[in-house]
Amino acid sequence: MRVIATALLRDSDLDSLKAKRPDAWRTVRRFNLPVKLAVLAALDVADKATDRSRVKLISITPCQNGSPAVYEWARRVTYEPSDKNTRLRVNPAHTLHGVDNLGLSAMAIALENHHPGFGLGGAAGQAWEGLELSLREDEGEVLLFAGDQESSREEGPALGVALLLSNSAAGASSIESVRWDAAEVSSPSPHSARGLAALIDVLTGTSGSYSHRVADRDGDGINRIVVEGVAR
Amino acid sequence: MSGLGISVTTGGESSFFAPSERQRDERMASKVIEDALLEAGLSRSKLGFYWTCGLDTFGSGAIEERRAGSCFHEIARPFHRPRRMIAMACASGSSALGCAFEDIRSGRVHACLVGGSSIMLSPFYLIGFASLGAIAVDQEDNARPCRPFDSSRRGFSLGDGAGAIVVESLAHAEARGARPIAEILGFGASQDAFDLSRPPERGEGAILAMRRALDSAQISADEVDAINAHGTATLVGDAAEAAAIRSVFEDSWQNLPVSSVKGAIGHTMAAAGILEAIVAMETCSTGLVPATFGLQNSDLDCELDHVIGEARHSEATIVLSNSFGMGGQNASLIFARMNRASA
Repeated sequence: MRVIATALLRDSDLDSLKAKRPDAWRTVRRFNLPVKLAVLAALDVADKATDRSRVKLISITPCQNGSPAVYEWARRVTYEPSDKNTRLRVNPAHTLHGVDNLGLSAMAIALENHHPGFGLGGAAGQAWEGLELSLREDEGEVLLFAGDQESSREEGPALGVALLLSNSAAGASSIESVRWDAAEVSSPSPHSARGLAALIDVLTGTSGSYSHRVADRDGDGINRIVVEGVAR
Repeated sequence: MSGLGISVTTGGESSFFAPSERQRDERMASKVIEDALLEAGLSRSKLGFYWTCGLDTFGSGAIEERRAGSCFHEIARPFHRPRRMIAMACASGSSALGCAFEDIRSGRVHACLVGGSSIMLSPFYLIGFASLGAIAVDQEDNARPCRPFDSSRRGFSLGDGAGAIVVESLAHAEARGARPIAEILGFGASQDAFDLSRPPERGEGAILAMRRALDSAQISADEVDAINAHGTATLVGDAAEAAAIRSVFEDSWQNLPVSSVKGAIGHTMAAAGILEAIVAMETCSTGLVPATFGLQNSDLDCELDHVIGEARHSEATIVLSNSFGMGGQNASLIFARMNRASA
């Protein structure tokens, strides 16, 4: 499957994105940070799609929702239920931060896309499950996107990543297969965007065929992505 | 499908704070997985794993005690590949089953365990969904707070729940001498692409999902004998689903029994599609269509052949089950009785 476009955004990019893409910013401004970055990255590569309404959307949910408001609210209702201060006013926009398919729904709306999409959780290794699901599509285009961060207590540092893949259009590289060893990884750590970001770094800096080694913490036992490159 | 496990708690039995949500989640998940594997006579190392866990997608709830995603790893580790953690809100369970069905039909997977667990009886979700106006609260008749399709419906009740189903190809089941419980005939999915918290009034996305499921099953709408509705008892959601069912089953809907189990067991979110698949398969096997608990007076906007009061005996052998996620992911599955031609 050909890699048509990739995007990798960090929280430090937000101010410039807000100025450069006001329409996209209006779509994401109420979202939690990892979902903001994931959707902005996905919108970036969606512009390169042949038919935005037919792209198969595959989202990977953040493990850490990057919403200090939700964190504080959850902490207080969980640990201080009898505290008068727990009468927090709940902002419905913050409730959205706890919904696992927020990024997928936002992208479907933005692209007017009724095609079946798919959402994976943010456990380590799910990025590669998403890539495997992408590769099995026989025709058309797939937009795989993810956003995540390390901390659940505060915003950032966070990442948003997106890959647009196609069976038909010409692209710089093609991803041949996802392979893994049977060996177990002792301590995978959840960060759904990090492994994909490392792959994108390699995709944009390398040509020819190569084997991308997946870091143990991002693998859940999947340790190698075979990429078949096309001469640039 | 050759093995089932199910565990549900609802209402006020479950303590909010002890044991922790994580412990409750793992306990229910382990129980239903063990039950399903025991009944199917298979071990984890031979099976793919498709699991939905609503809470553990995020670091919410008992936030300082765990890393998000860790619960999935604990239960997924002994399984073979793939190990998929599905996160599609209320459509997660049905989407997990649909994904497994497509993987098996294409020959990529021979056998797998599909399931999910959700701990919804927590302050976090109660307050969160109440803020969206989706929870049935402040009603005079507390014996039936959740009233799917009723003219007085106000929203759903939350329920903890878990379910697990062993799904395998017929060839795989026959080769090991297993007796399948039911057959998955088809799966259809769609996205509303409409709004982050409500469906379109005429249920266009739901229509697409049901039609795609019929296409996948290669049957006509007339061949469906009963429907397990998503039926959450929200004002807009129930009316949209009813409109969609009338549209897809335009020639048969007046005599097509429809029920929702959410009035009885609450909304178990990520696990709902799994639990309702189990109910739908039971209808396929027995012909018994459960009543919609909480429904007394059907709303004019929700006109369908509702099963009210008590379960209905029927000749049902093919059942469609709907799951619609908040945000617009729709999933419809079609189940059939095994060997129905000779039934």
